[in-house]
Amino acid sequence: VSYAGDVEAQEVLERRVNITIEQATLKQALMQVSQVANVKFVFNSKVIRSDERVSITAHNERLADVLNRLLKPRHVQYEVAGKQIIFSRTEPEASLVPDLQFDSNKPPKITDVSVSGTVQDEKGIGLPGVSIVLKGTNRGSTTDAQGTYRIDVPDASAVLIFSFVGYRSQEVLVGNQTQLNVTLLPDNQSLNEVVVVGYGSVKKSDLTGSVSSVGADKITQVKGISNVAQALQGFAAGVQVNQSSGQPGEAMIIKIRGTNSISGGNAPLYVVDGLPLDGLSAQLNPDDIDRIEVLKDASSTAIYGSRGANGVIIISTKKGKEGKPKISYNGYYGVQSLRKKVDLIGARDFAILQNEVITNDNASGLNTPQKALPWTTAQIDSLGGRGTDWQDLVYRNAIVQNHDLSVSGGSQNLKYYTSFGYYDQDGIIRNSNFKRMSFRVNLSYDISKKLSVSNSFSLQNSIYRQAIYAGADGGGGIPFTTMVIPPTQGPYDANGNYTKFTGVSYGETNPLGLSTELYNPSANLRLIGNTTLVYELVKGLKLNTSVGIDGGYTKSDYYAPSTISIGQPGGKASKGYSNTSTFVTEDYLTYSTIINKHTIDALGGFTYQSNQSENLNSGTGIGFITNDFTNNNISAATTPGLPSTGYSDSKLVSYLGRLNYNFGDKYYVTVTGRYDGSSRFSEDKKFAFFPSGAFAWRISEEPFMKQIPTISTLKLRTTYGFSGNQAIANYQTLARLTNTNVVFSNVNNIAYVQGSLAYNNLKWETTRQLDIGLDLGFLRDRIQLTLDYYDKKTEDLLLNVGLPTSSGFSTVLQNIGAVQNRGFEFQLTTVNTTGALRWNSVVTISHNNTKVLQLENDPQGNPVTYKEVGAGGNWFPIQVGQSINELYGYKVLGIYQTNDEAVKNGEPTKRAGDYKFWDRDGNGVVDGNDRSTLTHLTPKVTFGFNNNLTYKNFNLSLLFVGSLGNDIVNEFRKYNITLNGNWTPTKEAFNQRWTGSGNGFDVPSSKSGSSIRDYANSLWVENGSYVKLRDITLGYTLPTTLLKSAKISSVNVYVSAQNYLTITKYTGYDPEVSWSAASVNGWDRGNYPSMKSITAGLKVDF
Amino acid sequence: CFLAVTLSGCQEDLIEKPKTFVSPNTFFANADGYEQVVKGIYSTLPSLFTANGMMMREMFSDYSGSPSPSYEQALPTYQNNHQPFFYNVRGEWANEYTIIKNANFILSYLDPATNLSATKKKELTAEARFLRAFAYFQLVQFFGDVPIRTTPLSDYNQAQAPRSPQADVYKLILDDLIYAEANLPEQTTQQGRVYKLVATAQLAKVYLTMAGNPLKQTQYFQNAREKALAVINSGKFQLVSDYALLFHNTAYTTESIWEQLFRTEVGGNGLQALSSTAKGFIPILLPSSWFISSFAKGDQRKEWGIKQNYKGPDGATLAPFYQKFVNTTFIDAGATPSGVINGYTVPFLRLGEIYLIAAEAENEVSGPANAYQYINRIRQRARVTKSDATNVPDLASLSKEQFREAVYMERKWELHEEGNAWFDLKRTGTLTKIQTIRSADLVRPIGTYNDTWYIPDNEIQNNTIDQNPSYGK
Repeated sequence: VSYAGDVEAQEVLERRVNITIEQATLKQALMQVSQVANVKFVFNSKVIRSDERVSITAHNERLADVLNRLLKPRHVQYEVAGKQIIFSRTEPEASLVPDLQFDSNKPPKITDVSVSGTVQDEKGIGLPGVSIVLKGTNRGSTTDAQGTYRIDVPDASAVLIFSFVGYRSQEVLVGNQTQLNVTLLPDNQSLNEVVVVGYGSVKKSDLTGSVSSVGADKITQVKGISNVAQALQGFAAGVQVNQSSGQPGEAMIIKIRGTNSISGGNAPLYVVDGLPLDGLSAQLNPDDIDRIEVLKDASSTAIYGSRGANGVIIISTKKGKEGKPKISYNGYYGVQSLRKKVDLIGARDFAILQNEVITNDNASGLNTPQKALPWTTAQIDSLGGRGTDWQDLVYRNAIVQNHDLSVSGGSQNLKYYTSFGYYDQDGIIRNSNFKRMSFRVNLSYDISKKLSVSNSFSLQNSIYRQAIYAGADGGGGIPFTTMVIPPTQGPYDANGNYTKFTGVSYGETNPLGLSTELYNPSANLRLIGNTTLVYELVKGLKLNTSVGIDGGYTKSDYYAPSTISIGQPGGKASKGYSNTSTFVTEDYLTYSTIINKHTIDALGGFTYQSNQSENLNSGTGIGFITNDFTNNNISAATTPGLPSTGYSDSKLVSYLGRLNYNFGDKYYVTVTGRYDGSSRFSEDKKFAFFPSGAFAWRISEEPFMKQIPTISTLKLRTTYGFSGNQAIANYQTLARLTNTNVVFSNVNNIAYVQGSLAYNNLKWETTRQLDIGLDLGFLRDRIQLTLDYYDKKTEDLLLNVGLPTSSGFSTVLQNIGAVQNRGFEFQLTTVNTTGALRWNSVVTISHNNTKVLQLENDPQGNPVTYKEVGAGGNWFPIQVGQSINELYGYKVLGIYQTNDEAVKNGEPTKRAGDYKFWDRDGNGVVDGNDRSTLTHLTPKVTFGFNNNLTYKNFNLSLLFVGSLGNDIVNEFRKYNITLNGNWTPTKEAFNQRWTGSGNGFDVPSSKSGSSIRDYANSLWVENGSYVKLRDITLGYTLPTTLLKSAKISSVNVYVSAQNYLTITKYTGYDPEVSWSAASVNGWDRGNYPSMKSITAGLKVDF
Repeated sequence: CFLAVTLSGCQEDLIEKPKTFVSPNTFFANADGYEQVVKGIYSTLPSLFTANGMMMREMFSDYSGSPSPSYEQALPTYQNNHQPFFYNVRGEWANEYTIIKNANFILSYLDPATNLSATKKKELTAEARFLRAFAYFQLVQFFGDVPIRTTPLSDYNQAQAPRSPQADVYKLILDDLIYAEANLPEQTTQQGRVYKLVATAQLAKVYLTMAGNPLKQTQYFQNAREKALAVINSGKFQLVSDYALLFHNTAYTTESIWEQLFRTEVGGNGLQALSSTAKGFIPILLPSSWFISSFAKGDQRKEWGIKQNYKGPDGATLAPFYQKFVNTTFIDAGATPSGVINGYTVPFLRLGEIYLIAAEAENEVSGPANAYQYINRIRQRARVTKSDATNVPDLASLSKEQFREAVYMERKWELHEEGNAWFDLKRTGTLTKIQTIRSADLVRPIGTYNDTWYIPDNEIQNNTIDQNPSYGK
């Protein structure tokens, strides 16, 4: 035993210690001692065998004596260095050779020394499948069923690396031995993994709630994505991510454990390095992320109180580690293209169809006088088949590239991570793209033993150009128009101007012209920074204080030149600026202590957040003498626009507390509460309390379970609690007079109208949730299974309750109604093979059932069972007993074979060849009372299946995602199965058209499909189940021998493909579809089609 | 509240202080505020000329042709298969009650106002009451018995109100209009706002309606005649010489009594999109073929009013369309509906209609003898060639019944697309003409139930009132 010379070191060893430890591992014992003595222990994990159990009781003993009693019998010595105590072995054990001085610069000599032996576990049983690799080479072997192996090594300086999943790797110097027996020790690293939770972190083994973790490797596994939410797809059970659009930079639809709220928003709360952020989209560089935790149950989310009900996504960015600077470059380049074309008819068939329409209309007497056929036989023959293939014309191959450079490292006190990222993704529609430059600096500095400060600052500059795609039924919507515009029409007319699509109202310029000419970039600068100070007041008691800001500045440009219809007359221009700023401060105390078997972690504090947003818009100036101004000289417009400004603010004040208690690492209790006050609610309803409790039992730590070696982990968790939702607009409870425009004498006058009454009863929407979870680990956690069942009920919904419109008001936001979400989550992490070919996989399966339990009561006191809310309207109403939005409309039974049949069924205005609607109530008239629910849009199951395979220097990853048991409402079908000669139908519809008998599609006629066109009906409903190979990546790591001279520590090159395989019956562009303008899941009104892509990339560490 | 840990301080901080709208309690400290809120009542009026309002006012009538099947809910409405959840009834009901709400709101602040002159107070009160009466007049015609509200809602919990008999609704309308006529200013400097003679003209129309179906209080024909003549004899208005010059204006003509004005940058007149048969449009206001052939020879209301054989920019012949609110230069330019916002005014009341009210009321009171002068003024104006008396010839030697039928038809020719068609059919008890003319297009036959439209489903659900009679029963 050696003592360092300074006085303080001696003082440390003289500290008096009170402690009782029974049957703990040596490591646990040492950690308890370090807590009690308030001294930091430093040891190489190889020094301390974790399978040894120790017991010790000390009353007012010197620390030195306690350490001597613990360590001497175990051949461990210690020395004091500054304020730390460092442990080392007094004598090496054959099987526990620590890191040896191996000169990796010396190339191995080629001689053949054969080494053999047995690899055993800590109980002395042979371990099969252990990988043995000669360090610095690819040479390797594996153990057989009895645990024996054999390998040739070059010389006595050879070092063998023994590795096996669930066990700690060992490096052994061969020396002169030819028989080398090794005992591998179990590694409970997965349980000691630290999970980040709200306002802190816990060991995975101590976790009481339901939390999914996703690491950096998975976040960047799928290439060509800009958005953090997208990175979660398939990796976290209970998290449904829908990539509804192929528009680069687009926000994702993400739902955690179903849909809670009808009107109040369902987006989760994002917390980045402790800072709660609103509206996180593509403005965070995925390469900067170290890990993501998804908090799902009430106990985990209650610490975020009023914003926790939709789940919380905690993002931790990368931090520097002690050591020399690590420089990394990560980049890829790829080509994207349309995933699939829809099979439409060509020009020749279209001309035939238009002739048939006129022929049929003439025959039915619809045309008086009779009309001539639009096409002669000669013209049809001259069309030559396909005509204009609009899909080929509009969709292009587009480039995506990403480059990320980071430097990280640090000294003992100062650690840093800094990065620069560049992401540039073009869309497959011309002029749509997303570009992002991002910078980040993360610093942490230990100023003294008691005081540390950390700082995170990031800046993102992005430019987003959106193709016009949201327009359903026209408005120039590019995917929509590309689908329906006739193949007989070319992109330019005789004068060289763009042609227009006139098949629908608001058809606008053809999609080629619109995508080429419209100028509408939006540039965003977002600055996010926060600083955290941690000060240890007394032993175990720390004060955390942080301030953060989140500022966003957006400039939106718009110029529609007169060459496209939406720019007529004379060009339309506008410019807008908006900014948002958020200020957050959080101050809380934490206290941790271990008293014998009692471990306590407590937290209590206060947070304050204020948000502000402002905007200025020029209004649209119309008519310019030249297109050269674009939107830079709006004052030159012949018709000036009306400028507008806006302002909005909100505040949130919170008090929060949490107590974690565990007894003997077996029994865990967590109690959490948050008291939140929001400016958005009525004056005496602003505050609400959200409590929760959790209990966990690590059954595997019980003595009786120790008898079952197969089960390495068994933990039962249960939580119950409340969280809230405040995602409504500001100022909803105030009486207001709103300004409006009235025209008198050809002059626009400002006038005022009553906007709303004061409403004094608006409060929080509350979700209470029960979660029962089970964590199971088999074979030293080689197989890990997590199961969760949850039952959520959201009450006091923030719902626009209907008023009699005779009052002058149609709705008022109230707390009415209830929604239930119940579901299962299943996550299975396995190591399937070890040895030369290593194969790990993760399966996540989620099932959720959303059910509306209750809406408001009508004035007679009867429950309202049907309600139209938001953009879903009367097609997707809210109905009690069903999921949130389902298609509600007419069921099509087939096609009327005779006019008489139509009259008899209650549709006297229909004719033979028209679609037959179900007269549901059988009253002889088909009307609105015959509508019924036609879909099940929520998937019964969503799943992800990720695989990582390694063989020698090759690695292969495959990610499958999918959903089962859901319908999609393909509203395209109201056009492309309709045979009226205005819209291009699918080949299927054209080939199966009604020609006098049969039950395919309707009869070609100008009235064709008119009665189903805009009435929600069962012809739009398709099976939306799918399985998709989201990503496949094949990588190769260059042998280190090649890199040594270049001072490069590793190089990995890869090629990957995204969305190349999708198995689905869905006939639209992609089953992962949702119209962006409404929250209805699975409503395809012509979204930007998703892409497939091939990328190649390079990852270099210097 | 930064770093403050006291609860009371934070509660203070959570009180919202909006900056983009105002609280009613502070607004009227400025006396100009009252007039700005009275002006606000007008902001709902343009909504009456959108598709929802026009489907009910015009499309469901005998002279309208079949609408584009692509217009949601237009075809079932045209086929007499409309439903309580249809947007047109919901929209019409809500628009009228929005006007009533806004009027009641300012009336409740005008009454106790101390910072206004007595004259100004009366004028503004009269203006708000006129607009309230106008809204109730639309409602009572469409829906029959409707809830009456004359005070603003003070609490959302008191939003329910029972239906009142239509006689009571008409009583309120008359009270308001008579007050308005007495207290409105003689003139207004702002075209689009109402003044004394607007109330007089509106009274003529209300009396005429009360004398007809379903109230059949025929004594009011006399009042209708009196008010119509008061307008005609005021000398303030002159018929425009040519029917074609009556429209496509952005300001009042000599014939205008009260019109809706538009400016393109704040919305514009949407009627072109509902009328144009150019490619890409989905018109719902179309002339039927019998209506086109019903005009007399040389009638400008057809020759100019209904465009036939008009060629689109691609050379294809367009289906006939009303030209009243259509600017054909948009069609020639191939503009799509988003590009056809025009600023043409739409009349609520014009002298031409007042002549026809005078003619109809005079005939009902005393027979045709003295009524020809009014109707023939309108017919003479309609002549393409004014000097040719065979163009739209003068009426003469008709029985009272024949004259009545003649006025009904004259109103269709003269006032088509101005929002009177359904009201006239109901008032004159002639909705069955729809059945006669297009029975094959109807899902249900026309019956007495057609006298009222369904009350919207959301009103029935959220109020304690009964639905109107079911169609088809």
